[in-house]
Amino acid sequence: MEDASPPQKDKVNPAEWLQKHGDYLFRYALSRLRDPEAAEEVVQETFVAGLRAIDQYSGRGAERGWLLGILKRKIIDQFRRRSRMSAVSISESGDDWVSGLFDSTGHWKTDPRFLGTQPSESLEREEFWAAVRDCIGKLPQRQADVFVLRELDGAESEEICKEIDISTSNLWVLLHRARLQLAKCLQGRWKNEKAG
Amino acid sequence: MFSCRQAARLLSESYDRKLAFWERMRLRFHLVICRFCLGFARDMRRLEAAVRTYSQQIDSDTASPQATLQPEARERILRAMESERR
Repeated sequence: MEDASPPQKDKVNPAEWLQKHGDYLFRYALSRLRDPEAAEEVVQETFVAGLRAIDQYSGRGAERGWLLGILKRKIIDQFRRRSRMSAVSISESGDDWVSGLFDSTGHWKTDPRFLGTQPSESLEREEFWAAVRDCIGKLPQRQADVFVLRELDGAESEEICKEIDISTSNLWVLLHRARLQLAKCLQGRWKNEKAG
Repeated sequence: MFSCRQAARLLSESYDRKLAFWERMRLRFHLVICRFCLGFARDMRRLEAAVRTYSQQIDSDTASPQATLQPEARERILRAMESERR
C-alpha cells in the first residue's frame, strides 16, 4: 500500500526528472513555440509547477504524460502572451500579400501547385519536415501560432479563439494566409530542392 | 463570378469549419473547371495529411532534429526546481 502512494515533493529527484523528461518536453515545446528561449522557459515553468503539484500526481507510469499536460497549458499561456503583445489589426495587414498572388480578375497569376509530383512517401522524410518547419518559421508570428495550434495540436477553432482571444472570422483569415504563405514558401524551397 | 481567390479562401476554410451546402457546391464546381485550383487543392490535402503525421511523430518523440536542452538551461531549470523544493 505504501509503495503505491504518490511520490512526495521531497522524494522527487529533480536531476532525475530533468534527465528523463527534459529533452522530450523541450522538443515538444520547441516544435510549438519555434523559439528556443521561449521553449526553455515553458519547460522550466512545467518542472516547477509539476513539483508544486506533485501531490495531485497519481500513478507512476504516466509521469511523462502528466508533465506534458502541464507543458501544454504553459505553451498556450505563452501563445496568449505573445498574442497580446502583437495586437496588430488583422483585417488590413497581409491583404496586399494575398492580392499579389492573383490577377485583377481573381485568377492565380502562376501555377499554385507547390508539392510538384513528389510521391507521398517523400513527404514523410526529414527533408520535407525541415522545409515545412522552416516555412512555418518564416510566417508572421501570429499566423504561425494559430497554424501550429490548429494543425499540429488539432485544436478546434472555438478553442483557439477563446485561448488567444480573437474572433472566428479573424482566425480563418489568419489560417488562410498562413496556408497560402506556406504553400508559396514550399513551392520555392521544396520544388527547387528536389530539382537541384 | 466565383474566382480562384474566393475558391482558395473557401478551400482553406473547409479545413476549419463546415462549409454551407452552396459553398461546397461552388467550390466543387470550380475545381471541375479550374486546373490550377484542383492542383492547389490536391497539394493542400497532401500537406495537411503530412503535417498531421508529423505532429504525431513529435508527440511520440521520434521527430528530428534531436534538439536538446543546453547545459546552461539545464542548470537554470535544476536550480529553479531545487529552490521550489525548499
